[in-house]
Amino acid sequence: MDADALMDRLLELEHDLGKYLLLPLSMLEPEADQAALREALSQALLCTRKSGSHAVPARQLWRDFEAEMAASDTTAARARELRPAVERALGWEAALGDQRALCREDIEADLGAVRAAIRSWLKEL
Amino acid sequence: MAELSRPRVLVIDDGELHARIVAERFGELELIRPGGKAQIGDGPSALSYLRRHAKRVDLVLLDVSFDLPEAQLLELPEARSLRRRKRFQGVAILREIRRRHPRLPVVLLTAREDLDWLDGEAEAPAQESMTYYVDGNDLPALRVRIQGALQAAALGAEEGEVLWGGDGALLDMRRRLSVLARGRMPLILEGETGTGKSFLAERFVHRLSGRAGPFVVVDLSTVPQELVPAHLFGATRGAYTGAVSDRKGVFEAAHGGTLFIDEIQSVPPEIQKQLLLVLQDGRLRPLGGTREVAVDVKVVAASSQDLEQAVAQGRFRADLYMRLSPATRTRIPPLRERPADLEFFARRFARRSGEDSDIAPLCRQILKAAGQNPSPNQSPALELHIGRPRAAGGDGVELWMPESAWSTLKQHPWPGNLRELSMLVHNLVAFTLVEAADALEAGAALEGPRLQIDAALVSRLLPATTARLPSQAPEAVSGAGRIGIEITPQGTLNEVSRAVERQYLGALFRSCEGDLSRMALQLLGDGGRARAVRLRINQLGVKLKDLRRP
Repeated sequence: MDADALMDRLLELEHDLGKYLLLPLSMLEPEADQAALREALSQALLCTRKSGSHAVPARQLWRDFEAEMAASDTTAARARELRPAVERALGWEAALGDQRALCREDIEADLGAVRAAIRSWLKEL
Repeated sequence: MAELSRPRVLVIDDGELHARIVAERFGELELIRPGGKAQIGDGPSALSYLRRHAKRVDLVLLDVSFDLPEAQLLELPEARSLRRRKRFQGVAILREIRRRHPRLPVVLLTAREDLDWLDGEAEAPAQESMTYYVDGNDLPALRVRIQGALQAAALGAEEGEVLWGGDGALLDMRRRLSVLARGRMPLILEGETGTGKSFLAERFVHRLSGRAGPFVVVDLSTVPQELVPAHLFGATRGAYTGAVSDRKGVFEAAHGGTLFIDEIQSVPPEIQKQLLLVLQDGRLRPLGGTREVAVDVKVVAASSQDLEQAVAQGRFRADLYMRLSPATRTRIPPLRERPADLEFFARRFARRSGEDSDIAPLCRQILKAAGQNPSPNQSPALELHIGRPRAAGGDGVELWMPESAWSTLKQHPWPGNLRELSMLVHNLVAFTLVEAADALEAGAALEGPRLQIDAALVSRLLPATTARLPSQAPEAVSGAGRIGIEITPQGTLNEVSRAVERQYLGALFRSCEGDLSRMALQLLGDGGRARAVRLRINQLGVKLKDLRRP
């Protein structure tokens, strides 16, 4: 993958996981209740990228990206550095199935960290 | 704006989320639903909608990334890949919107710095006053941006004659001034004569300052030096010869409002210290008075010279300069530095001329002759076009300026800036309409309300326009429409003035090829007063035969 193609791919990931992973939560009112928060989290993680009626979850978007990066040792290694931030964000999937109280600040911090990590890679290019 | 209480927002986005937010969260806005849909999903459809319904739209909310098939994407020539063209499609859409709707507020759903990824790949859209960037992830920021953009647009609509042009530098300045105007700090406006400093101060800075007090202007270059302190700070009865009663100074007169101090560099050094104290303490003591008066004034200090340079040369106190807040120093660029604005302003001035009481009747006469029925109560539309006439005309009078005449204007250095251009355009309009009206009265027929401006008229009026202006340029510049004059130290101001007048009349004599009637037309507005010109030349001790020498 040449530098141009890599930048294109990262810009796309930044858009999908950087922006749309956080957007549903960002758009909640400050006083949003637990049900609204859970719904927004579900949207963020499971319907991250929408194309018509088709929705792609964040985990799938990440898997696709990792698979593409595996083509070269350098990009694969750099993608591995992204993984902890992404995994922490995706880890919130588990909270969707139970009834524990969600802390919006914690979720936003984890989801927002993905964007920061991707942008950091972009800046290296 | 269609409805002040519920501004109408058009969302251009390939997803639904932002439109949903506007509809569900921003109750103060009305979401436009083109064809029943909550948003328009691609550039071509959005542009087509705006072409037909731009007047219905108060603000556009525009996403940047559009995941669409290639056929639905606008060109983004710099994008080297389809992916990037999709990722920054909003930039391409914004460019097209700006081409057709330069004043339509657009909030672009991206952080400004995100467009840095375009570096070397695509040119980011010019920073101009009606485009706002917001990180799409921040709901409160989005709301603030939308409200800010709508307010700025409403203000822009009310600004009337404040002309910002389409130049990026000036539009950026507008945004900057709109912030500075609201603060308490003084503000420095620098710019050549005719760039509109006092106009900006009154119509923009003072209005935005939110101050209820008056707007007061003082031009210190016109106040006799010995009267400057009394003029600025006031005087009590008997403070100086002729002070028969207590008199308020301009600071007191501007209390609670804005004081525009023009040509601040003309403040005598001994007064600069007093001015500094007033700015520092917000208190002053009128001349001859014992009591201090508190003043709350927003000071806008204007200068046609570079104040920093004046400080460096010791002509202006550094501490006063610092107090005036150099961080707020705003330079209004001269017209010659923004060639892109020339057409914009020329057209605006022409349109405005059509509203003048001396021009409007002439327009009506032309329109009637062309078979139209102009309203006697409304100013007829008047449009200036550059280049070749179109086959079909509009509703009002159309004036066409040939390319050759336009080239002459483009080369002109515009020492009098907007004021000079405004006068020139007004005269071009007046002369062209009068000529056409005369021709009609002589029985000529008119095919339509389209008139061509005579290129010779432009050349004829251009030096005359400049000639009426005082010399503003720090150095004499020769070239189209400008005359270089050497000023050597003379005994008295009168001698300097006569020396300048002698040189000027000599140059004008040559440019008019010795025709005193033409000189009289330019100098006195009456070609029949050649004798008066000859008399003045004699008074100055100049012999005509000397002027005629090559």
